[in-house]
Amino acid sequence: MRPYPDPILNPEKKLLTRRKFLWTLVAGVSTAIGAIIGIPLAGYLISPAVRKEPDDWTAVADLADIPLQVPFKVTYTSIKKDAWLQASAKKIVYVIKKSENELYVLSTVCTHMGCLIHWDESKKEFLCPCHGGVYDLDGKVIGGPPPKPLERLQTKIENHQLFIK
Amino acid sequence: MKINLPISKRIVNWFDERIPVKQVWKFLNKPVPKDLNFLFSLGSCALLLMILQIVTGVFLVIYYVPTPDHAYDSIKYIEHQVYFGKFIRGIHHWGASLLIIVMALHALRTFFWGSYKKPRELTWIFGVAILLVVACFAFTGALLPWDQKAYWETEVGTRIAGSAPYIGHYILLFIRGGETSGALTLSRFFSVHILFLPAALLIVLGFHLYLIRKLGISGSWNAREETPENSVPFFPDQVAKDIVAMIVVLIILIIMVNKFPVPMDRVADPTDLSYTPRPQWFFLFLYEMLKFFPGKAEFIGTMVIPGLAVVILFLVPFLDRKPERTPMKRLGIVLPSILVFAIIGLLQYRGYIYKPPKLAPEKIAALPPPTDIETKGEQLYQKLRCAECHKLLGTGGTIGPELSTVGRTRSGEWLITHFRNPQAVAPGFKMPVVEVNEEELNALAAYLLRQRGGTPIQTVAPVKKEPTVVAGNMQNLIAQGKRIYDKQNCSSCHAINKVGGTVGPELSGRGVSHNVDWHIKHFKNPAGLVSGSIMPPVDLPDSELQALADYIISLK
Repeated sequence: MRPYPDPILNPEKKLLTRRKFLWTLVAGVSTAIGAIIGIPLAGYLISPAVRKEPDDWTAVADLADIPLQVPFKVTYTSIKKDAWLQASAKKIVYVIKKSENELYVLSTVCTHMGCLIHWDESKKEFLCPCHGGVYDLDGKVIGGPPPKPLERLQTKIENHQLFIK
Repeated sequence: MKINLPISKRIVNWFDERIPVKQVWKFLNKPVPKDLNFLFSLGSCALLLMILQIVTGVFLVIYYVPTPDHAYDSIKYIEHQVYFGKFIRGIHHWGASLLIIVMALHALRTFFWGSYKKPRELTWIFGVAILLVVACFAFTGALLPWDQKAYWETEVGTRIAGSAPYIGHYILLFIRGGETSGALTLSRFFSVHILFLPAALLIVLGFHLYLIRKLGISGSWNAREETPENSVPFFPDQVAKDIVAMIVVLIILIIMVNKFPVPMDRVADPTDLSYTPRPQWFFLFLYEMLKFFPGKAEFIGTMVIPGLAVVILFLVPFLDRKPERTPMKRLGIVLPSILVFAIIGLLQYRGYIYKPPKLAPEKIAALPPPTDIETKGEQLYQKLRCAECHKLLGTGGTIGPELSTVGRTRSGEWLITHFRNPQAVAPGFKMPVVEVNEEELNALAAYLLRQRGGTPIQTVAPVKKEPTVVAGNMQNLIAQGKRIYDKQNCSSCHAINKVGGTVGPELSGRGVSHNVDWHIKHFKNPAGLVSGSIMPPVDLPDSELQALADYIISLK
């Protein structure tokens, strides 16, 4: 156990003394215990922030049903999972097929105070009934108080079906 | 002069000029006897386990909700949806058991080595106090998962407090926060478990540890002088021994956690009087002892003996005051104690092997032939697909409880209330509302009341599976899928356009979130694709599953 001191090759302070060995042991094992428990605890703590809930895509329309250049109003049920709770809510979005290659989905929530906007076909504008916000077909603000353009939802297309998130 | 010191020493000195750092270190680093064996590390192991309980407990509270309608679900969430949730909960659950074992061994070591003798009487007394606080932790913590076992264990355990003469009932009301265990009991137990008891533990544990440092460690029972030759510094010599013992205990704990999932019963049902509760393993000997004190003598088993035992435990240092520490020279206290330990062991063993009698089959000469209403109930039972979740006459699912003896444990009134609104009977119930008319509710109840565990009599032939329609085109497949959907009674759990149950997710709109293959796989093994899913597998031929998937995909 006790190392043989070699006075020429090993100056005394570099020797592994019993005391040093014990200190290293204590430090090493405590670190191991800390890591064994600490790493799972960290994962546990950040879990809801990083863990992706699968299946949050909702199919809202068949591609063939969406007209060109005209906002297409879609009502769908969005399932809101809240940890162990679950609630469903009716939501409305506008699907806009600008051309055969360009399609986007606009939220109907006005960026000013959160009222629901609607499409005015005669003016070709989205109007907000509350404070007179006006948006164009792209969702850009062209009048009134809204600070930002309408939010665009994430989309994906699979089997000729439009999905939004 | 201090300028030449290394920075670390200067920091220490800076603090030492303000608070007595060096003195505290000297106090902590008091020399201990050289020849301590590993049994003297049991206390440190208990300390490690307590720290683990505190840390994992604090983390469990992040997701746990102490109300009857959410407690069970929030624990399921921890188990299935949170990274390392199973591990953290496992450490807390099995760590509690291991802590009790290690503390008991530590107490036995202290007892046989006579370590409680002068001047260490107070260390022993605080040790006994820790034991009692930990017992309270175990008792209050057991209720928190709010499953059947937790609920009924507490319901019976609290009744013990109620057996005290004269004031028993008031104590019972105080502990439960009412006549029966319920929402108030849960929140009381929760706050006691996470606030009151940790505070109490901090105080008694603080004194215990302070006294150990202050008075030193007793060491071997052979009397000898304490000299620098036969003692070593606490750091790092003794700490190294302790930490090796600690990691061994931690490894044992992790093996336990990985090998045994934490048991989880059905959600608590306060109306299910047929549930036979069993106490936690470390209370088994107390439970077994009660059997020797029937009737009015009960309080001897519930109050007098445990009370005396605690008093004697506290008084041990004063019952055995001679300085002699060798067990062979203290036979006056050692022999009776061995007898007591043997009795506890025996009771524990008896409690362990005891199997509560099952509800004996009722002796019925011959069940009268079913009345029309009972036959109608049986048809409804099949039509509503109750067997997807419930087991009856040997077949059925395991999501809901078995119904074979339901006629003996439930009243007709209960059954009907429960059909109308399962959550009204017990919050947290996953059963969907049975949506049929009054007459049909009565029929279903009548049929179930017939189920008394006697000879199974089936009068209605089981519904035959419809022959598979050979699909001509997509429309046919979808139509067939819809028929299957209705026949399988999927709507008892799932809703389409808000029509149907809320147990499973709404299917409209969401329908095409997945492709056909996913749906078919999911029908065959729901939990395999959606963790924590309680949906029963759909047991149908592939062609029918295909049609069902096509139908669901057609929902927009």
